[in-house]
Amino acid sequence: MSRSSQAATAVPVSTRWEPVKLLLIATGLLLCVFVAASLSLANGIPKLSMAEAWGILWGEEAERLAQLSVRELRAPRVALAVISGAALGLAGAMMQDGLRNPLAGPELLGVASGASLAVAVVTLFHVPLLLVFYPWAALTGGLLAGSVVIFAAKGARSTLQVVLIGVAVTAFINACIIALISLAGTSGSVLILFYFLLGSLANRTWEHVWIVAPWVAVCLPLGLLLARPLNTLRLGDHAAQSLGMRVGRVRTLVLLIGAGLVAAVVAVTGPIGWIGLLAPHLTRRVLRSEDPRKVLAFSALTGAALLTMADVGAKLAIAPAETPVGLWTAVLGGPVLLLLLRDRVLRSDHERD
Amino acid sequence: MSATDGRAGAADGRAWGARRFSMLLAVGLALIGVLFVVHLCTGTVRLGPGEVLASLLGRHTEDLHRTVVWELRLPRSLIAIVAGALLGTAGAVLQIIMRNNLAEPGITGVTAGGILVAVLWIAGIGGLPHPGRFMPLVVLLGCLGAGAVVFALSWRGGVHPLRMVLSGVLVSAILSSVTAFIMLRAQAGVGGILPWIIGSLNGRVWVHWDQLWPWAVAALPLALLAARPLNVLQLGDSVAAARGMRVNVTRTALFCLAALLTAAAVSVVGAVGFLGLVAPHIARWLTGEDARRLLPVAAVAGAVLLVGADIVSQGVTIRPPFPTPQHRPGLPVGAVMAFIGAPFFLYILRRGAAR
Repeated sequence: MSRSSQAATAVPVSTRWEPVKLLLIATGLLLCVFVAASLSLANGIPKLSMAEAWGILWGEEAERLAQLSVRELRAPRVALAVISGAALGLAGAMMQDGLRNPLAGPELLGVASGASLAVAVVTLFHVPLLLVFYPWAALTGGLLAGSVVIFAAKGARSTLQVVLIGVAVTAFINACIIALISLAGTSGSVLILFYFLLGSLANRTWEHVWIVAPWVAVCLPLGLLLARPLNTLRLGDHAAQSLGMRVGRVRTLVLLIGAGLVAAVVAVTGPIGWIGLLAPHLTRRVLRSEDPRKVLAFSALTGAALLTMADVGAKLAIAPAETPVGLWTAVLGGPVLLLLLRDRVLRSDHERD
Repeated sequence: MSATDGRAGAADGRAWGARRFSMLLAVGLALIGVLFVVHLCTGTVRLGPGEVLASLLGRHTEDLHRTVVWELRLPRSLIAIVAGALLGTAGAVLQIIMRNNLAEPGITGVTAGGILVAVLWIAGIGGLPHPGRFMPLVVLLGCLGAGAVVFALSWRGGVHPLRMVLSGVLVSAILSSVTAFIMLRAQAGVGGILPWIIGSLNGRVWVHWDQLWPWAVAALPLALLAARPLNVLQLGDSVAAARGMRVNVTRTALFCLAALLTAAAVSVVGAVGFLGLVAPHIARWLTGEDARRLLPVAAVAGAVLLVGADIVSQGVTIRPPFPTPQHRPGLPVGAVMAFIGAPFFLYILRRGAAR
């Protein structure tokens, strides 16, 4: 059926080693998360050893300051990085497979900027909204922007067109945000928004984690369940339809669930760029497979590893000063994406045309 | 090539085209004149056209009016006109040399590079002095660097549009992140620089005009002179080479010219997006592909658009539909341009899809 299983029948050796390989990759990624998390937990003021930090997290008694900073400041930040990274990685992989477009992702589909606009509106106009409901506002904005892009791109099947339309809509939304800031912003809220729009994990508490967690807990398994239909969709719309799949419905589900994941993250951390685009592509390269049944789960894992590592970088690069992690994901992720996408995008565009 | 240039067109068609072209230019310039006066009238202090003209001509008027018109509005209007013309021409040149109707200083990453270097310099990294009048030169370095990267990444015997937009978007994202990083490190007034990054005419006075005009005087005639090689390039690389043109040298030189046009504008008004996209398209509708006509009309269209957008931005800023706090930085003209430009961009795309 899929390219990878054809390859598997031709070379039986790779089937035998497949589970071992997957296990190794998963272990490697988890190790990355673990190391980054340890670094994040141990560093800061006061500086602790990694063993001490984990000890405190598991309930060991220690100095009050150390205890407080590890449990209430550093731990939620790590948790948020893992959860958000996984959500972004999965959302990106789903959108790419669902729209059969290697460039689909929260950034280029306008979902992230739509969500940011909604949050900006809520912040600037002091809309009386509990923090818990921020993701709903963000979801509305993200879904609106995403559907505008997809609606405007209707009939335009080439990768190029969809991405360009995404760029245009994103530019429009960014102009809305700037207009709002300059017309309604006080200098204080402008500064807050500026930091928010760069995407940052600094100064987030457990309260923030509990806002994102339920969304991810619901949407992550739902997204993984879509792996099988997404794999069928890779055969092309017609083939999938003749196999009895309702293509439109699957696409809608992909957009809904993906937007849900992205919106929850954006509402709390701001638009952290390029993780959703980078994680799936890296995963496909490492797994040497395009099969969504593997890629989706591993992409979530890769996203978590990437974001945790980027956040440690943001925290430690010029410590004690903080830099928003969104800057790092763009500065470091951008070149990698350029390299990864150069051939792939062209190939898929030629196939389409 | 436009129909008027075809051999079958004969002298009749050519004469009509020339008349149409001069009529277009006249109408465009008249439009700029009207908008110029309207622009001088708009602002917090309401003035009538009569009062504006009186204070411009130096007839006895209230001191306040004279100060407002001469010290605040006149430089702003002039900057809007010249910067618009610069960006419109830059877009037209880029579209021809990249052989791509979507090329534009913003999308190709040229602007982002300029902004980065400008912020780098202003923030005083490395203890460099403020360049003052040579700011455009500094910005030019950034424009050339970023543009060259995007160009190189997307060139395969003609710029592949998808490669260009993708590399442009990614390179811009990287560069603007670095810019934000520098701003954070330098603790510069973020609220003040943020509108500049999307492009703004707020608070532009004679100092900025002094910074802008020498470069405009140098670059705009150069661009008009470049119309002939641009026309040859439009015939395709092999034809151009057969006519004895060193295609790559010419293309590089013209690219530097486009970067210079962009740099002069960006160093004063910031990154006004979409102007370089919309103006050449309007010009192409009006006059066709001939660069000798396309460039001047694109310049005029750019000027009209930027002045018009700034009138809108000021109009919105004066009477906001909701209660505003004391601190109002004013709507940046770049936001208005994006409101106009983004839907226009969509329209071009969809029209391309229909064909």
